[in-house]
Amino acid sequence: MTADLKFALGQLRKSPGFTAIVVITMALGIGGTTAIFSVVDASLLRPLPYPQSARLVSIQADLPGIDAHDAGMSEPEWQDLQGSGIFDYVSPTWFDENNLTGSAQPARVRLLLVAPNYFELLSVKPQVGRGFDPHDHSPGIIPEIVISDSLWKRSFGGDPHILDKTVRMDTDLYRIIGVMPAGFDSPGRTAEERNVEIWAATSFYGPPLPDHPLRNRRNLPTAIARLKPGLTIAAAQSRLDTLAASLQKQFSGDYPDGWRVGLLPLKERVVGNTRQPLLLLLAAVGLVLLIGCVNVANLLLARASARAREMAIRRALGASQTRLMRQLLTESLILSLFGGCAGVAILLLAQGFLLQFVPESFPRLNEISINWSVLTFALLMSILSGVIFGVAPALHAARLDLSHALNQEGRGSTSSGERARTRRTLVVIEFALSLVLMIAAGLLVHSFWDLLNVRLGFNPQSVVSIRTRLPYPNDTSIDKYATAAQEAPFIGELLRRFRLLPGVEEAALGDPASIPLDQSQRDLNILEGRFFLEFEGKQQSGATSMVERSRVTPGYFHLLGLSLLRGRLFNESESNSAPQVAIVNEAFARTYWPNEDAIGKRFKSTRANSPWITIVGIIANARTQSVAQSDMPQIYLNLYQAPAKHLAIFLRGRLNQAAIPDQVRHQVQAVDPTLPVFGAQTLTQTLSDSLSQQRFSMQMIALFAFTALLLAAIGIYGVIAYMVTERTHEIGIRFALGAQRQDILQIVIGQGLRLVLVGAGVGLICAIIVGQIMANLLYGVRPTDPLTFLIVALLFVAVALLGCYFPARRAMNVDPIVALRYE
Amino acid sequence: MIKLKNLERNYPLGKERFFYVLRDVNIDVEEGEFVSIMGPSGAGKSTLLHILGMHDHGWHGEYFLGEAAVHHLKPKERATLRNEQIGFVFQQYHLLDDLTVYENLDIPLSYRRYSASRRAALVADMLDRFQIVGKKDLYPRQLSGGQQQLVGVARAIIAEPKLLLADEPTGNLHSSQGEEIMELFRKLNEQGMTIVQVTHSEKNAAYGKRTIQLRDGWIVKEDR
Repeated sequence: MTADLKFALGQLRKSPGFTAIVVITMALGIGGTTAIFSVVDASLLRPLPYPQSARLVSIQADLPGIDAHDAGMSEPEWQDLQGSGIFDYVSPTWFDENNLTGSAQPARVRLLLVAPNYFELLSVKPQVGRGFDPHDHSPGIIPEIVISDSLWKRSFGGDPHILDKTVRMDTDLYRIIGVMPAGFDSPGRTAEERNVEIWAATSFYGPPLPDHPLRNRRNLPTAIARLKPGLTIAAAQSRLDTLAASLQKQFSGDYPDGWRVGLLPLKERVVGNTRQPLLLLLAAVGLVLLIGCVNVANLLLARASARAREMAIRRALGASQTRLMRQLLTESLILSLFGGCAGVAILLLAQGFLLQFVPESFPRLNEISINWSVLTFALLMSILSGVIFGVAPALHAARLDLSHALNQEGRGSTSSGERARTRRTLVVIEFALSLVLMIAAGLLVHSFWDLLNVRLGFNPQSVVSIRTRLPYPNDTSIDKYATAAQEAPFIGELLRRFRLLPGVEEAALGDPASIPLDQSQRDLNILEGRFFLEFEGKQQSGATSMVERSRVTPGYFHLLGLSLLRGRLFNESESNSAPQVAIVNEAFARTYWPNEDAIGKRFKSTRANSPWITIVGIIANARTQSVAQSDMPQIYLNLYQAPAKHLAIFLRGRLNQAAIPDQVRHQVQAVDPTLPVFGAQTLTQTLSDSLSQQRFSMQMIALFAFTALLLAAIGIYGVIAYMVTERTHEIGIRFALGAQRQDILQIVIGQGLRLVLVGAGVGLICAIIVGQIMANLLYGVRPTDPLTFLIVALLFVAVALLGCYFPARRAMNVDPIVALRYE
Repeated sequence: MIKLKNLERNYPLGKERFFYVLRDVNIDVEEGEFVSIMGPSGAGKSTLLHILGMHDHGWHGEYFLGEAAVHHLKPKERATLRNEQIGFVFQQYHLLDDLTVYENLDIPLSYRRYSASRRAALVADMLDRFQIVGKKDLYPRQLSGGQQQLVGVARAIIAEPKLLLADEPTGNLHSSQGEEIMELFRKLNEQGMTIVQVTHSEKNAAYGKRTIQLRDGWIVKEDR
């Protein structure tokens, strides 16, 4: 073995060019695969960083009767689940923003409102102090908080005496009882939800929450739980189904639309919809590695031809077939291990740079690292690659025809035909794999292009949105923005001031749900942006519905360029005392009054004592919820009539992007100095962010496809160039027999084209299958989109022909005299 | 038919230094002649034959083939002229390994853009004339050396050239096979074909009507 190693190293030293090409190819393949694996490992494979995390589940309630998913939970339902015997702990989680006041500048902090058992549920402990008392069932919000390590260091300078210090959030004082360890993240769906800075606990009843929460008032956005030991998710789900059926029977009036409670591994909730794109990326980069292996196998086969005589002499001197195979495989493995080492080294150096391309919204982004499992993967990939690309040349060497190889003085042997066939087969495989990748990339690019060029139905240009939040005191009696009448003067004053800012042409206010395409406030939107409705004159069962609801000032529609189809927009003069009015989109009107004019129709919230709301205007559908969907029913209420605590400020005009956040902060705090101003972003940026995951997938696949195409072009170049070398003599004879240059060009290109077409045929069939698998990642493009298939296939053939052309040119310039003396 | 005037072929050895393979060669070959070129190895025999066959273009001087001044022709025109007028027989046969006997005979015709029917007729005629019909589907490796050279000659004359050039056509054959090929040449010459052959063999040279002796690139002797 040592002798094999020494000899292999010597051989590789003797051909530095060949060694460098193989090592670089493998470094790209193994490095790329390892990079994507490190993301997959952190996101999908690694258990969540909590003890016994397999027992952690997310609880998701659906109301099948109105097709409402993830509809939230009420406090009585939480208590039922907590007492069901299925879970050790159940904790609703309620992401919110809060105003950290009491310092020079009010700051917005990310707050997670949880049950007191939250940290026991996750089995984590603060690094300083303690968590909440899990048995504390006192009403209201417990005046104790646990803070994150980053907030501790940023706002309190890492003060070792932080415990028992008080902070003011909104108007209320809270005592700091613990600091979570660095790197601790809440298991949330969005980046905002994961990067919580303050945890506060409540039993979800008592001011500011209702004293006697109602079963059908599902104001808790979501919940997580820890299963009892030994209980599988399937078994727990089965028991939960029984419990849900029993509760529906017992409280039938509260469940007119049915109720289904589903359990999902908590990791699935965190990973969300990134699983499929990630696996697609891993498959894509795996294909690139495989194509790299095929290329190297081809190079090794060409080299084996040149070394046929050496192998024959070794056999003649007594080396066994196994021994020769071992020697060649040793060389292959050394090459792939060198490639793997180079790939990992590049990855370590470029890690920071590469992570910039991963969208911030990516789950568990901060857990991506080159750890032992990633290194083990790189090692396994290196060994596997070495075997894949080394096995064909090794088998050929073992089957060498001894006498012929010795007689031919190294040029050709009886197995050279077989070797050529193997090389052609490898190129066909390489082409097929490359075409599959290219078509996948083509479909994603086409899909993304369609998304970019879709008619939004609103105009995001020159619009900036900035956030603020009004205080939400635990003691509602001191809330100066408790009612619409109290909030209206504040809103009016803000708008007056904003309109005077330099460059501002239009100003409007809304709630976070009114920010088009903003998914970062998902839980806030669930909480504040969803509306359970009942309709006047429709009293039968199933007449309720859940729709997206935004609250906006009258100027919002004109500012965003939303078109009024019928009726009217809001008036500035419509106050809380006037009858409540709503503007709906066409989808809403068509869904609930398909054959009638919706203007003048009335609906109301299912909450007790809610007023009837009259539809006064219908606007055109716009893609404000999702770029991919234009027909989601949408309701707009007048912010002067339906107040909101979380506010979004919209400004349109020729704005100084750098100065506008400070200008707005100055104006907001001139009216109320306790309010934080944050989250300034242009709507074009919000639009771009909403497509970040699609963009990331598309860019990565396109990069891999380009690499694959390059490797395939190099592959066909190598095969055809080698074919030209092997056929130089024959080409010389053909010239001597009267062939013209174009005859030779035809022969060479024809040979390449045959391989390309066979590869393309196989690739197209595979691409149709792959297209079906990735169908739900596509927008507006069929998985078998003929235009994409055609363009990609033509591009592919053109590049492949280019790969053939250079060796063909060499063939055309063969000097018959030299060629005929070649032997 | 062939007229060479002051023909020279050299290879550069360095700055303004050349190695001369052929020097001041002047030859006239009449139509219907059978000329043998002899000389020791390195005398320039094969080079001269490849210049006549227009495989080699790096020479100086004047070369007339019939009425055509080859030295004034462009490469493409030379290729056309060669295809019309010249057939070439190689010492090592140079049949295409992956093609059958039939396909090997067909190749020169396809390069001359003959129609498919005409090609089929000519190949069939040639197979019949050389009595190798039974071997038309065999590959070169399945034939003896003599049979391969027979196919080589058939391939050289299938496009009905006026001039047949043969580079040591019997060099790789044993004597009886060699005689068979030379007899074939004699018949072709008798039928009017002009032949120029390179040979080491006095016996084979005797089939020709004239022998040109080369040494170190110079013509040293001409025997009639």
